[in-house]
Amino acid sequence: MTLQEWFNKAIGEEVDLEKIIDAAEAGEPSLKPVLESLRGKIQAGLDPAAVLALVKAGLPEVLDIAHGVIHPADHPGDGM
Amino acid sequence: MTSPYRLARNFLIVAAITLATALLCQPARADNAQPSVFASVNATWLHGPGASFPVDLEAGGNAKASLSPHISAVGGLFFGVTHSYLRYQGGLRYTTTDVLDHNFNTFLGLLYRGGSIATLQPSELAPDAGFGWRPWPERLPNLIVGGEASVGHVTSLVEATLGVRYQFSLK
Repeated sequence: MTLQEWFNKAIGEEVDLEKIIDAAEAGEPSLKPVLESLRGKIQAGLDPAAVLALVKAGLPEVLDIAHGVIHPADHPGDGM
Repeated sequence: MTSPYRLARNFLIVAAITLATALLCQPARADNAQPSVFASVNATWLHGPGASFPVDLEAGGNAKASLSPHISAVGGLFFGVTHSYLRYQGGLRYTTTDVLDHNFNTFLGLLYRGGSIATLQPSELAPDAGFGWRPWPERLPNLIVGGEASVGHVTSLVEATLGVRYQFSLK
């Protein structure tokens, strides 16, 4: 199981990890060095559980942003 | 036609809902609140007890703020062109968005709604449901089409709209 597949299964939906990290960098510039490290670990194929533990332990903001990417706050139906 | 006093009172209730929304948004991250206003055109159908006309064309505006990725506060004020009325609504919605296409979403919500004519009175709570869609997100990202329908808790009057919106983001 790839890290992408593992995340999809864990979250229950198809997610784009690169997009989430890009959004995290854009929203939280101070996180950029850590996120670059995280991206490197993902690309290197680090154990998914270890990556998730890293995210949970050190980057709760990333989970918030990930949820925002998966379920954006801007809904076209809110204008109706 | 309802009295100016009642109209003002009910509009203040909707304004209070909007103000409460703003206060609730304060703790939220600024980039998550996503406040917007919309220029709006509706075709609105009425069905049920007291519906004195079947359909009208409306022009007006909407506002919204996201309290979380799944909960939004919304409000709207519309003028009925043919029958010369004001119609207002405000409330909360639970939203669901297509994960792979963020330009389409559906919602369930609870509105406080009313209007300036007997057909749209009394002001009441009304569960609603609907959808929104950006048909051309690349060329016209601010253009939205959608529909919404609510059922009055007191009157059982159904208000259904199909509309076009132009979104102005406030962030």
